[in-house]
Amino acid sequence: MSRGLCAYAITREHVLDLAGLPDPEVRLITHRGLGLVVADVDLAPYADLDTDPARAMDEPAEDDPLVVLARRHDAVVRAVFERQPVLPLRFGTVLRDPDAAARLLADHHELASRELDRVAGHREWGVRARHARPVKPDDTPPAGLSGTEYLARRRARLAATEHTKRRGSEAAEALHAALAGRATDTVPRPRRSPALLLDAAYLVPTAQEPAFHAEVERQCDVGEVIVDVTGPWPPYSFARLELPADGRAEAITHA
Amino acid sequence: MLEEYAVTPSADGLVDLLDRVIHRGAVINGDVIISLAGIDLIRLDLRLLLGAVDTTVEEALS
Repeated sequence: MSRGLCAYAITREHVLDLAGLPDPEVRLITHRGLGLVVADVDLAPYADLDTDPARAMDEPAEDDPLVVLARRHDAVVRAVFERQPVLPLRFGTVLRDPDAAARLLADHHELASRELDRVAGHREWGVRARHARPVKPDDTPPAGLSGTEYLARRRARLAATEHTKRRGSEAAEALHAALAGRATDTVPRPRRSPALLLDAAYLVPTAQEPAFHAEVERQCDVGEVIVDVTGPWPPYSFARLELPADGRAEAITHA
Repeated sequence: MLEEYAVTPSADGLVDLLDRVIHRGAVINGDVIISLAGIDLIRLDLRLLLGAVDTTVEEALS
């Protein structure tokens, strides 16, 4: 038993565009208008993974086995997302058999349908903002300052730093408010660096995308923050379901 | 239009991808074999799967 049914996303029942998929094994298991995107995969590469995810996040390498599998997962999700709304499933979701897949769709039909409707017509965008100016200016005092001069200089520097920080934070807050106004939903992302003033994902209706990007440009023009935008993404950050499957193995409830 | 500010280093893009694929997305618990937050759990469960197909994870763990 080294094969399993890898599940990638919940979508609406449709005819898969096989040409767009990275893997001919990918297929749809359907139930009353819903579809679960699955592929019969060799589980050995998953079982052999020994990448530390935290390390992969710090120093990602394209040839890392985890990265290769994650890219494949993303490629499948994206291919379906080109045509239909999707609720991406977390990497490494493996089902026992096609019956389990159909049961999953049956058990959660209402919730999954509702969530698909919610993300339909939307794409996810990631936005990060950081200070455009260095927060800590070069603080090497010139030689020959008196003690009083040194302290006055130090105070002025601290005040300038506080001012820069505050203006950056305010710009980031204004940006977030403007973007959230164009988005249906937003979630903060874990800040990987204290230098980041904003790191969030936005679920944006496609009709609002030009306005969304215009807000980014507007805030860039102000010049307080540098903004990085990533996307469009399938709505990974907005598929926040936890679907308990009824049945035998209910003991699996890791957080 | 977007290119003006969306210049994201590729390594950064990969981090974004990993974060989304590994840490986001709907989670299925229960009679699904694996699907969880950490790779360690995925590995653990896979080994159980590979070793004992018809044993529930609970039994396998005990």
